[in-house]
Amino acid sequence: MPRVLIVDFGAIARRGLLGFLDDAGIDVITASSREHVVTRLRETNADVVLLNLDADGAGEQAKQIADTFPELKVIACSSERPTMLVVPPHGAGSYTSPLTSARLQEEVGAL
Amino acid sequence: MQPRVWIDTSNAIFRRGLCGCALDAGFAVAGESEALTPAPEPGRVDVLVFDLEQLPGVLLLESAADHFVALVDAVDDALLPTLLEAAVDGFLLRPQLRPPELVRCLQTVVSGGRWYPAAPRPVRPITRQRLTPREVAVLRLLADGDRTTEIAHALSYSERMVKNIVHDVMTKMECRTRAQAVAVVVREHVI
Repeated sequence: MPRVLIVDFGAIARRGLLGFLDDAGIDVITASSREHVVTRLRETNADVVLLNLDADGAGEQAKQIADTFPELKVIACSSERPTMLVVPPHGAGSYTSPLTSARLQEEVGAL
Repeated sequence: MQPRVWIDTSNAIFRRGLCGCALDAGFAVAGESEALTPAPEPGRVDVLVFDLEQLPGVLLLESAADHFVALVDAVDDALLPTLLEAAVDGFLLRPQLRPPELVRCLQTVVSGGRWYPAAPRPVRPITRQRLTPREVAVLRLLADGDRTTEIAHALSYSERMVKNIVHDVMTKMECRTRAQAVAVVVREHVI
């Protein structure tokens, strides 16, 4: 099962993400803020990181993290618009996808 | 019986979060939807929470729910008259919404109250006694969404006089905008 690090979402969005990932039997860890994400990734050996696409510079941060951790899958999802940005491991090329519960579970679960 | 809520909002994560918070607080979730698809079933929902953009669709639903709460991105002067006219019981500001506020809002509207959180509580409470009948009449029309010219016409005052009354009321109530003044008198059941 993949280990997922959730970073920097509001309380309600975080509750929603935990609900989806729990249903899919996925192990979830959290980071308190964007500043701690690199430290937390080093500590936790996560397979997937979920960033908040609504935060300023989120797309840029997603790419930086993907460069620093080539094994990691980076997903930035919005809790306002129905969209998410996926950066697969090993520089496989990022893409945006419609955000639905099924797509999100699929993206997090499929490594 | 547990009050039943229905959550209609376009973002899957936020929707799931709202459902989760409602469940945690002892509400039942009757269903969820995006852009009112599927539409809530009449008679099965106590509170319908919906995106403000869906208001026209919500107004077309017949007796879909007993109470209505809108999710809004920002408060502007047009918002409160729009919501009041549509008999929406409350609204929540999506960007800074936290679970305790959601829960208090749901509990308030289920028990027949209004949840209009835009205006901070005035330092001194506003009561009917602190307003003149003339001021109350103007506030009622403001709450109906009337403009200054329409209020002047309805009450046979000059526009200048209406503006003066509104200005006096806002000073008395320590409100910065007309919308805030309307929100306060509605919340305090003054009109």
